[in-house]
Amino acid sequence: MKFKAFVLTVVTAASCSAAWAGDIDGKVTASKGKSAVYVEAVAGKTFPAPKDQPVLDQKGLMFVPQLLVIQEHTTVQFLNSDNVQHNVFWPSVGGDKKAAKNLGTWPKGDKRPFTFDKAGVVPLFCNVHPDMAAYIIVSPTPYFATTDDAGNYKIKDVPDGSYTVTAWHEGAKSQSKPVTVAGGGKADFTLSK
Amino acid sequence: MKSLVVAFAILFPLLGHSAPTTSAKVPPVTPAEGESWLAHIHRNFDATSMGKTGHLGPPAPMPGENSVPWHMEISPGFASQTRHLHGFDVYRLDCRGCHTESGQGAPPEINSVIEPVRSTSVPIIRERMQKRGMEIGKADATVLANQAGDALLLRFHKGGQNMPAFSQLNENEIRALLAYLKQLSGIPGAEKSQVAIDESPYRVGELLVKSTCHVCHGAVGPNPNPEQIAGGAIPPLSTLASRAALPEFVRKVTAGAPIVMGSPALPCRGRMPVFDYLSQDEAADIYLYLTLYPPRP
Repeated sequence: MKFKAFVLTVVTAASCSAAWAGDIDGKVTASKGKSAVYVEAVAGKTFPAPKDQPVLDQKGLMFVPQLLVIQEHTTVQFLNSDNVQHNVFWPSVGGDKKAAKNLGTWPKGDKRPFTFDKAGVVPLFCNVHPDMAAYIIVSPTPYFATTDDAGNYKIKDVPDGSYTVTAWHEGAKSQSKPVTVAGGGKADFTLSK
Repeated sequence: MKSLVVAFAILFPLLGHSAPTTSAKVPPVTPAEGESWLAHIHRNFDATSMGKTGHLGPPAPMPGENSVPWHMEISPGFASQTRHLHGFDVYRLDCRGCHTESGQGAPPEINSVIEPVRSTSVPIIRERMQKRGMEIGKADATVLANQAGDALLLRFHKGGQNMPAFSQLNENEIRALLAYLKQLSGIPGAEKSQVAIDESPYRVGELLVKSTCHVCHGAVGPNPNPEQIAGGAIPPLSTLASRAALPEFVRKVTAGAPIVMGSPALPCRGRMPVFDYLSQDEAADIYLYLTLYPPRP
């Protein structure tokens, strides 16, 4: 009997754990290009700093990728792969000018790291080449995604619960929606200026 | 033969003279040395826009035809005259062969100079950000502008993967060049800050050879025969003053002249670009410099 109860507990726990998380997916309709979608901060919940250090390259007089979504406290490695000197600066983070930063100007092959401790939109520029621009979206949670070119996205493994999900697209007004995840969730966005 | 006599008559009085007195800021004139820049970066003459002005000389005349008339108009006593230059001329002597008259270069091989120079201007940086709907303070813009200025100077001194270092430029020349680059790039008020400099004829020759001719012509090496020239050989700098007398040399550089090439050897238009933005005196300065400062390995 005792053994039967134990098996039941394990099976219940396993089936529950499978139902405790799911993907949020949907589509962002906006002008050309990729969009960012992320789950806003969850009250009382903190997340460990990620160990992965994504590379934001400057190659062929372009930032690569043009849109990078990261979790708060992520360190980004800014690389210069071009034969010319590049600069990286941003005039604000999430509109806060006090978070402006000029990483400097450096030659081919060199990398400069920076840890983004503040969530928000980071517009990136190279002062030497004013046609270069890109965005880093610093998400307050580890639940984020970049859409494909058609606007489809999937934020994986979000624990069941109620959230606010925000979609961002360059030049458009961001939009937030409440989303309940119960083994999965769905949210579509239409973004315009 | 007559041309050779003319050349010697012009050059002879100078041969016993030393280069002008130099100060710490003005390094002495030195011979060109080493392989061509194209050889250095393993780039074929046909696969580059470097040094290509977009102009070739006239076609070689057909048998019985007269060649295109040309007159030498070198200033009397050119070899002892001081050249009064501005930044515009420093750009012409040193940069225009690759970056073109407009400064736009030939992307993607040769980058434009315009934006890197505009990035040194605080008002332009602030205006750019304003257009993007983002304000940037004067202090932050000044830091960015200074960094862009340092990057530009580093580029002159060290060059890059595709661009040679221009370590031959002295402080005065760089100051004049920077002032002109700012004007060329449309930085407001730059036209009022142009700098005049005086140079000796052999310094002008040195700048032209090291910055422009040496892109394609190596310093020394065997004098190629017509068959080798048809095969793509480019005569080294050390042979140029002996391959042509002064008038022919000046004509070749400023207006273009046929070259004997192939097998059987025949006069042909050749592949050398015409540098029609150089004066005849400046072309003669090249000849003077190559004669007085023979290129070294």
